[in-house]
Amino acid sequence: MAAVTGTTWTCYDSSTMTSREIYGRTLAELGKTNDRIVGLSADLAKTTAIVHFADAFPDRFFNFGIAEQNMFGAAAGLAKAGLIPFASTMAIFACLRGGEQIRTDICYQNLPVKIIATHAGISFGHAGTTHHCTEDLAVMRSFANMTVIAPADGIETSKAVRACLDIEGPVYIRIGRGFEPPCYENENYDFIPGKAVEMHAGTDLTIICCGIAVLQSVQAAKTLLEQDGLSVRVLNMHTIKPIDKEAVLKAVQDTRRILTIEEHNVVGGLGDAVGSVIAESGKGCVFRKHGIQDEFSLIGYAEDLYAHYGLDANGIISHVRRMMGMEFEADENWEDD
Amino acid sequence: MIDSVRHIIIVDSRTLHLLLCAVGCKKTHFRDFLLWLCGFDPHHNITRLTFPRTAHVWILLKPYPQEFNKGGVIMSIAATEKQRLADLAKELRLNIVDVMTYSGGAHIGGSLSIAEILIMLYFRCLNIRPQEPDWEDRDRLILSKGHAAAGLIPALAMRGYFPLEQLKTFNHFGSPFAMHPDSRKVIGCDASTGSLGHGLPMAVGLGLGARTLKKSFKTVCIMGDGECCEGSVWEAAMALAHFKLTNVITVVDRNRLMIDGGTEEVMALEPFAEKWRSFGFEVLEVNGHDLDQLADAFDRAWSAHDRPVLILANTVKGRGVDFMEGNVKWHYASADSSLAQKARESIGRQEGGI
Amino acid sequence: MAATQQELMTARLFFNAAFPVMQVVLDDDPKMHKKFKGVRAMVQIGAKNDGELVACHLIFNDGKVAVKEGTAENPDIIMTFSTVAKMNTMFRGGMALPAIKGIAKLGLLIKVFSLLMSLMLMMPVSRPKDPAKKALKVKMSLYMITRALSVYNKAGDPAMHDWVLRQPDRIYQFIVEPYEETNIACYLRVKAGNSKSGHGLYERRKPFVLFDFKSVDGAMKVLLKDVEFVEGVEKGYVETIGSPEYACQLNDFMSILQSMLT
Repeated sequence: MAAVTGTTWTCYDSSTMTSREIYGRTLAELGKTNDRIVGLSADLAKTTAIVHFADAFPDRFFNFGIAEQNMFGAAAGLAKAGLIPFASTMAIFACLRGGEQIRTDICYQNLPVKIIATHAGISFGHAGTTHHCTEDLAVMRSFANMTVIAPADGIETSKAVRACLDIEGPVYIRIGRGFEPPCYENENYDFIPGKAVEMHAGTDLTIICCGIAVLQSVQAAKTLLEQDGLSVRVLNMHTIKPIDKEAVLKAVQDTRRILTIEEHNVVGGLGDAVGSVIAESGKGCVFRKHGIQDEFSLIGYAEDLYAHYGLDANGIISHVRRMMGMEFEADENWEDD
Repeated sequence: MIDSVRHIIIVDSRTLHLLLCAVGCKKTHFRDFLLWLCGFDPHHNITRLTFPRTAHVWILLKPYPQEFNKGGVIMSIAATEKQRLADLAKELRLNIVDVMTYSGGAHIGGSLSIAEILIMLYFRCLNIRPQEPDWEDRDRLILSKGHAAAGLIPALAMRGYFPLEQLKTFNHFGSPFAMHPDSRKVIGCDASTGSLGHGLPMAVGLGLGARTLKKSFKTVCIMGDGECCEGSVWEAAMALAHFKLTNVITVVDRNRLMIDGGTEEVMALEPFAEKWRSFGFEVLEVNGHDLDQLADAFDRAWSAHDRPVLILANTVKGRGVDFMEGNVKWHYASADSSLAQKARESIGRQEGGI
Repeated sequence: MAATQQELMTARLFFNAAFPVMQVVLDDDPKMHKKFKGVRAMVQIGAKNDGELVACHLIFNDGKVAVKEGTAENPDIIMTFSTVAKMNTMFRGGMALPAIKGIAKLGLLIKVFSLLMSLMLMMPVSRPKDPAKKALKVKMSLYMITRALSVYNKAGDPAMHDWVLRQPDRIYQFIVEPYEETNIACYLRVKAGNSKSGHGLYERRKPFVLFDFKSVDGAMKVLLKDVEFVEGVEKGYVETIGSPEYACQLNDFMSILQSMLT
């Protein structure tokens, strides 16, 4: 009846508005050439963008309704039958609701199930804590046989999904809700699971980050170079497990200051992974972890929460400056053009 | 005539006589008058009556001469009471549309479908004290389908837990109100829900706890039908029957839709009522927008004594706004000012009650 | 009779958001550019309001125009409307004429009038076919709307100001592709109560929300409301990159301003 007007949008429109959430389309493409790929969802096909695959291959897509434990158990079964299941749901439900199935049915039996966990971190800000997931990196890292990847943007997600097929066992890919701005210009760079990407060269300090923090760190690094003359290296550590030890140790050697940034609890995530590498190497350096400080987040839109928790460019700049001990200046021209 | 009477403590004979006449009387207006003479205040829970010149009397009446679901006589609620509840339901729907505009987006469909249920509970059935939200003996309400917070939170405000004005901060940074209710932030909210399938197990705990502490409060758990895909719901259902937790009342909002389509297309639930019966429940199937049927069902559930009760409320998702009714798209949506106005007008045109 | 808050706000928006767009016309339209080459003059436009004058004056200086609020000393031409409402009506393209002082300077008067009329290009009824005129319309409309948003905040509209107050340093950027050809881009910067509208691309940080119009024609369709915004996204006329909630909120403000000014 009454048409949707102006800027009214429903959860169905959101899947066309998410310009950067392209893994669903990538999966649909891959499905054409690889007929062992099947898709699974738990009543979130449209929300997680796997609907593109579902539309292209309706008889290779299974919706289990709101039943994550069943979905992951069934994923294990499909893998045993010789298929490659891509199971997609929100991070919190993948990691903890279906957690035991992922660990015992999938990881323990080392089955090639690829888990695409969306709305990770606090990216679904205004949905509240029941829909946030600041624990998934910690949990997934602790499962043997699991590969854990946190791509920086839509382009990297697409590459990660393709790379998934070359990894033998289970893979956990965590992404946001699809409105994240792009970090890369195009797909012309090497995405190798387990190898960090240097986004910005530098010698004074290294920021090791993943996910949305990558774009923000690159912007922060540019500003710091212009304004403070600081040369900051930014490493996109997209694979948290297995972590790129070489890149970490090289950064320690070259810059002696490491700051980790992640949209995750500081306990157990990227920060702790990098910290263990540094500690085991015996080399000294200044080391700080930044993320959500072991608390459940406030309510608010994701962008406001990122600003509050210092996960945006401004926040990262002030962390770096604090580490280097410097002052803050701003752009104060408020005249209209 | 009275089916069963419990807990009479002291009552003088004149009042008892009036009460007996009132209960047997089928003419609702005269019945109302007699009850009023007895000191019955229609704004309070029907199961508690306070007699002005005598000690407190608690009388629980089951005035149904026949089995509820077998076409028995439904004792309708007083006409004035029904109008009051219908008006409140309309007001709640308007407040839900407001929440959608303040928040930039809400689960509007599933909130509108339980408007009558929420009003029935908060304004007729639940024994609660808004001025004392932590009162130990209060009836609990768990909105297991937590995404309908856009309906629960305005209902709490209307009932007096906090000012309606505060809803303007919905979803804003630092607000206590967001897509799913947080029991540590929203006054009057008994459980933090949002992840589906968590509510009924918590209700089991509350039911067992009440019994252990020898308290008589009830726990009402409202679930979505899609939510019943979750295995944990059936684990809890088994426990409710096994422990004979008649102090827990389960309600399912059967609007037949979920995110990816109709419930029967995505993951078929039928035969739904039969499933619950086979798990040991007494199932009361009602029209979830009919205030008489809801009142009857809740009264029956409140006085259940051998099996836990499931109220299977058949509803329409998006009820009240003509362009949203029965439309799977309106599970979650945002609306700009002009569409919100159209929604308000549609609600204004609706008849109260059914 | 006294003007309402709404009318006064509308007048301020016309003065501070619509009039400055005249510079775009002077720069990009060759005929206008020639007309005003070497012209040095001051024109005051105002309306009577309860004894006072709600006015602004335009200062022309060899192809450049500046707009200042308030009355001027010794302007060459003075246009005065009997009420603020009538003035707003004329700016919206309706029929209302002011009293004119300085009618002797007929040449200047005609030039100024034609410049004012050129602002009508931003009206919804105006549907140019010529590609240069289309590009001009899109550029003028986008520049005007970003200016209007900032002025609306500075003028103290409670809803707008509250929205700006709650945000850290953010850029809302508009761009019409392909940028090297169209050269149409503008932004709104907000930070804790302050706002600034700017032309071009903001260099110091990436935008918080980017409204990426894929072509001049697509931009026209969305600005003229031939398609609803979300429809425009579906059809590929425009892409929003960044928070959809904040994009919608900005769009809602833009709709309010467009209905006040057109």
